[in-house]
Order: sequence, then structure tokens, then C-alpha cells
Amino acid sequence: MSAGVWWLASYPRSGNTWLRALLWTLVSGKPADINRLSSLGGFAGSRSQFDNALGIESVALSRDQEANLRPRVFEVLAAEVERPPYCMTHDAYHLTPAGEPLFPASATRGAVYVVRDPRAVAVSMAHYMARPIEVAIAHMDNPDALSGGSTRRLSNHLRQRLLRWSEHVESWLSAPFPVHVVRYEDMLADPCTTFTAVAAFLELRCDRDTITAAIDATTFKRLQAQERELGFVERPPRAATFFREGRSDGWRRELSPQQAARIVAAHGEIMRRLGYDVTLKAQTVRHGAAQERSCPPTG
Amino acid sequence: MIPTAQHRRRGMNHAYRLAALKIESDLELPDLQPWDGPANSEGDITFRLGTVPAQLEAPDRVEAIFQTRGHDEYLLALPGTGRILVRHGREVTVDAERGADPVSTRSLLTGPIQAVLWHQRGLLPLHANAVVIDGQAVALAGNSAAGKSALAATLVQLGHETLTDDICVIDVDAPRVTALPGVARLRLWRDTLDMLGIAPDGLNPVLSGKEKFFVDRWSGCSAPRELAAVVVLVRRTNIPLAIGRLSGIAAVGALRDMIHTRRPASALGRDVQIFAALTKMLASGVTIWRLHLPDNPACLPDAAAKVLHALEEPR
Repeated sequence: MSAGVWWLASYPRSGNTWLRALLWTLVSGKPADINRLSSLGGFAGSRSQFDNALGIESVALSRDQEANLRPRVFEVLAAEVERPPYCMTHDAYHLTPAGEPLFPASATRGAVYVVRDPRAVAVSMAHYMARPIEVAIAHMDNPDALSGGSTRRLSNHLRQRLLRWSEHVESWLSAPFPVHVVRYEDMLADPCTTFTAVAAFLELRCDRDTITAAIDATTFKRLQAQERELGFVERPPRAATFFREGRSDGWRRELSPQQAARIVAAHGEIMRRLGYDVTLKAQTVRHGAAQERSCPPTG
Repeated sequence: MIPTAQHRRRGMNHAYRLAALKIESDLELPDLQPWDGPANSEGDITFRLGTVPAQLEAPDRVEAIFQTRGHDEYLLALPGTGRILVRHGREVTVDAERGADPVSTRSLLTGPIQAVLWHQRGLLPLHANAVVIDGQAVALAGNSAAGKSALAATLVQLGHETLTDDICVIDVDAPRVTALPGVARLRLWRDTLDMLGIAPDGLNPVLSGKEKFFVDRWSGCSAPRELAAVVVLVRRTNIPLAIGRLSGIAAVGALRDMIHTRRPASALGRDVQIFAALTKMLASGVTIWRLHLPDNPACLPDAAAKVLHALEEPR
């Protein structure tokens, strides 16, 4: 396989930060510092990464020029790093306005795609945006949905196209390079098996004890405690907290049955394909979901 | 639409001042001050419309969107704009694509192309605004989106003059390290205008499709000023406002990251000169600071107060 970038891809609010924290721990051998996760390989939508790689300020370019040049940024990134970087992205896998793939296969080693039940994403997104759940549901069903790139202010992030939630998922599932799909719910329910498979896909040599230690170092409670104590540079100012709940079934008490039904109507086909039970009803919380199970003892 | 090379006029219609230099231009560059020196003086820099080759002959470096040869030739090839050739710190040739947005082209010429010109002329362009405080220049340096112009505008509203926006050119060979006057009118985004209580009605946009405007309401300083300090801005979400002084290697490293168009500068073979210039700045007593700026325009008045307070420290 050629050298290139490992993409850590997901729709926003799907568990990507937890994955990065765990990888940071595996790669560095130290408990994750949530404010240094970018050292894994940065963020595909970073404005400063674009400016440094191309030697020109993105702010001097039109929107289309900026979008059309992003594949060049990733080629520079892939060519100049000492080890394949783990680069986080919320972009859908899509074509630039000039018609070429945003993520060039020649600059790509592979992608881990984290997916989460869109009903949980909607709830988490609403808290993150500090907007009503209805707004989050509409955002997830908007083919023109964007992240970053406000016209009113200059953001650290370039404009990223999200598409509709199910289009985002489909775009990555059909990308022309190896993609390892991870369900957030499986990360919660069986982290040892799930992260062992991720580490193997990313060609990380780790034994079971190392993965167990990394899981223990990056439990939701620990990440939440770090944010409480030190803050988190990736939390948007409008959100009360970044690490909010970390459950897989919280949506059942926060969505109305109508809201849950609307999400299923919009995205049901992909949800079924990913193994999500579209018949589950809101308002009927089932307790006892595994939260922080670790690996069974070795030996 | 920008006239293409085929439409080129013979005489250059426009003359502007940039620091002490006279720019003669085929293109209108409203960011720059009109030339106010002798009408028949020779230009120092020319901006012409003309034909630019797709590639430099025998380039030393070929990057994604630019090429260089030696210290004196830089070619930018930018789909949607065209090709721009910069030679010897004196000649800029613009070969615009048909239909290229003139606003975007102007933004390139007064932004990265200006910085490349300064590199070729052996001066040090920092990615910084500068304001005049107690008669001396204070550079507010930072990457795009760091809040340079917003903090400069806040200081200007407190009565300090602006010296330059976005590119602050440092001359370390002057008797004292000096910051040159540049594009004095500030370019501010809508959220900063709102915070400063300035209505955007009637302001000219910097770029099409973005709510960033030229603000002309403040008078700028048009003379070089001794450089007292460089404040490196780091804007992050959820960090407390704080300022601290840097010295030694940390100061050189922070300044090196603030070199405008650093990658082309490196390709033009400027690294050694830049390092020498930065160490000379420090040795001459310019103080270097790092300001952690929360991602919230409401913090700007407190940030300005912190900067002013820190600069009261003896050098």
C-alpha cells in the first residue's frame, strides 16, 4: 500500500474525538491530552494547514478556488510527513467544484469511518449547536449543509460540505480506497474488540494490554473530567460542554416519537444497512447499556 | 472583468504609494494610497498586464501552485485567477484568466504577491497588523483568523494610529529596527464591525461573497516607525485571555511562524537571511509577546488593555 494519510472521518458528533483520544494514547504511550489531539495529524478543514501547505492565504481566494485547491493540500501533507498522519475530517467524500475527489486516492492510505445512530447524532448536534432539535434534524437532512466557513467572520476552519447525514455515510462507504467502518455503539458496547480491529486496520502494532490501557485512559468520564478541569479547545463557544453524555440510547428520552420517525423516514435505508433498529421507539429508555466495558482479562 | 493581455493598454494608468515606494500599475488597486510624490518620478515597482508562461524556465522549486527560480523569480499559477509572475522585487506581470474576478485578483496582489515582492527586496514581511503606540510600532502578528485586524481596530478606537494591515514589513538594516507603513485601511469582518458598533452600510467589500469590508474611518500613520514589540496572537476557543513574554529560541520560533508567505520565501532561498533578521530584531531590544486570545469578539477590549499594560514593562 502506498504512503498517505489515514483519514479519521465522521459526520459531526459521532465519536471521532473519542477515537482520536484513543489513538493519541496508543501512538504516544501516554494518557490522551484532549487539547493536543491535533498532533496526530491535524484537521482536514484547518485553514492554517491549507495556508502553510500551499504558501498562500486561503482568505485571499474565492470559495471555489479554496475548495478546488484542498486536494493539493492533502497531497502536500502526504508527501511531507515523516509517518502517515491520522487526519480528522467531517467532510463528506465528495467532488470539488472542479470535479475531482476532495480526498485524492494517491494521498490516502485508508480511512476509519465512525458512524453513529442519527437519532443520537441529532440530539448531540442540537446541544452542540445550542439550537432546537428540530433545527439539528433539518440540518442533517439538508443536502447543502456545511460546517465552518461563515461569511460573517473568519473561522479557523475552511468550509466543509456535509451533505445529508445518509449521503455523508454513503459517500465514505463508496470511497475508492480501504474504509474501515466503526459504529459508535460498538465502541461503547465492546471497545476492546472494536478498537483492536481499528488498530489492526491502521497497522498499529499493539497488544491487548496496550489497548486495554488506552481504553481505560480514555473513558468518557476521564475525557469529561479533563474538559471540566482544563477546558477543550475544540468546544464551540456556544456549546455548554463538548463531552456531554456519551451514551448510545439517550436519544430515546430526548426525541419525541415524531422526531425519531422523521429521522427514520429520511435516513432509514442507510440505518438499516448499518444495523440500527429503526423500530426502536423514543421515550422508552432501556437501561443497562454497556458504557465502559473494557477488555476481558488476558491470559 | 480584468482586461486580458490582449486588451493591455500601453501606458500604466495608476500610481500608488507603498511605504516609500512608487507602484505603477495597469490595474486599479484601491487598497493602496494614491501616489502623492513627484508626478514624473520613476516607479520602483510595476504591475503590468501581460503574457506569463505556464512554467518558469528551469525552476528550482515546483510546488502545488507556485514555482521559483533563484532568489528573484516566483510564478503563481492559480486556476480561476490566472498566472502572476514576480521578478527581482520590481516587476509583477498579471496574466488573468478570462472571467477572473478582479476583486479576488486585487486581493492577491496586495496580499501574498506584495509579500513576495518584499522577500525579493530583502526585507522581512510579517503576517501582522501594526499600530503606533507612544510613537513606536507594535506589530500584532498571527495566522489568518487570529484576530489581528480586530485587535488593531480595538486599539485604534482607543486613539492609536494604524500603520499597516495584514503585512508588516520590517527593516532590520535601518539604524533602528523599523516597521514600514503599509496598507493602512483595515479590513474587518462583520462580527468585528458589530462588536465595534460600525454599520457595514456603504463599506466596500474586500472579497465577493464574504462579509469582510474595508474600513477607512481612521487616519493611518504614513511614516516608518521604530519597532518596539511584536505580539503573536493565538486565537482559540475556550482559552483564558493571557499575555506572556517570549525570549530566546521560543521568540525566534514564534516569529519565524509569523513570516508572511513563508513557504515561497523558503523556496526563494530566504531562510538564512530571515533567521539572521529575526535574531537581529531580538538583539536590538524588540520585545516579543504571545497573546492567548479567546475566540470571542467581546474579549477584544480586555485583550487591548492587556497588550497596553504589558508594553509598559521596561524592555
